Amino acid sequence: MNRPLQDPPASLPSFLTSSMAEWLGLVVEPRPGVYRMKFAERHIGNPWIRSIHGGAVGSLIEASAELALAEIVGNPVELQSSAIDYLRVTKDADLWARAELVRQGRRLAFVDVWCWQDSEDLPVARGSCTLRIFGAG
Amino acid sequence: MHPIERFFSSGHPLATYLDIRRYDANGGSVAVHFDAPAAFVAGPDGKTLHSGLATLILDSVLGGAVMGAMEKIQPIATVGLTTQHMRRPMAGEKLRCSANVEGFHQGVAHVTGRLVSEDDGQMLSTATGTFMIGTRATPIGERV
Repeated sequence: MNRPLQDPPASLPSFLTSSMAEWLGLVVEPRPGVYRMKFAERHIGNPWIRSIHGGAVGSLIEASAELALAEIVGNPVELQSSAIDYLRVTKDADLWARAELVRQGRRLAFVDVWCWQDSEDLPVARGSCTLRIFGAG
Repeated sequence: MHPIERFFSSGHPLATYLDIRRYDANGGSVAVHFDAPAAFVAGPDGKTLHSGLATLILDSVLGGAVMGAMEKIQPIATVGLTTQHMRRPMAGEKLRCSANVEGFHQGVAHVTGRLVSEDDGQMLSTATGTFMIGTRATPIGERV
């Protein structure tokens, strides 16, 4: 069974102060493993229906998986692959992501991420991510 | 004008971040040449971009290939996107993102794509995507 990520460390990765985090409008939520993309016009993918770009959703999923795993292992991590399913149409509003560690090995980890807007019970996307762990022996 | 070129030249928010140098587009085969934008830097070295840039551009270019392969423009929506990331791009690096429609089946387009460095020829990311044709989104008109 998947388990939620626990106990964010005192110091968060430098990613949170990067240009990419700024582009995403990334916010670390108090709940462990949960992140928010604060909506901005630059996230729009389809201007006619004002939905969020699928790549922006994917970027949030990938960033969330990396951040959450880095918090757990305390070592540098890097995303190797992501498989994203787009479950519902998004709208021009904030997007939340919740990361769950599926399995952590010595050099690889698998993290699932669920995204939602109106309600966590109505996910708009899910992602399965494979990540490399560096310097873990 | 190919739909991918129209997409990026219509003031789309993503286009403002990409310094697009050239399009090579013919139907369901598309390539976009651009410089890696510094706005997507994530590495502590201040130069290495996040994998999200590849995901963003691949989703756009795969979708553009689908639009180019259709007889009549219809709304499309990404159903699934699987991406493998190898080396991360560096800010300012010359990149080429290409995509090919592999086929249509029961209202779903199947597309493959890749992101390659034009500076050293390295493969940076590969992707496969599926797109639903004819969503409930507002139609955007006939192809011109």
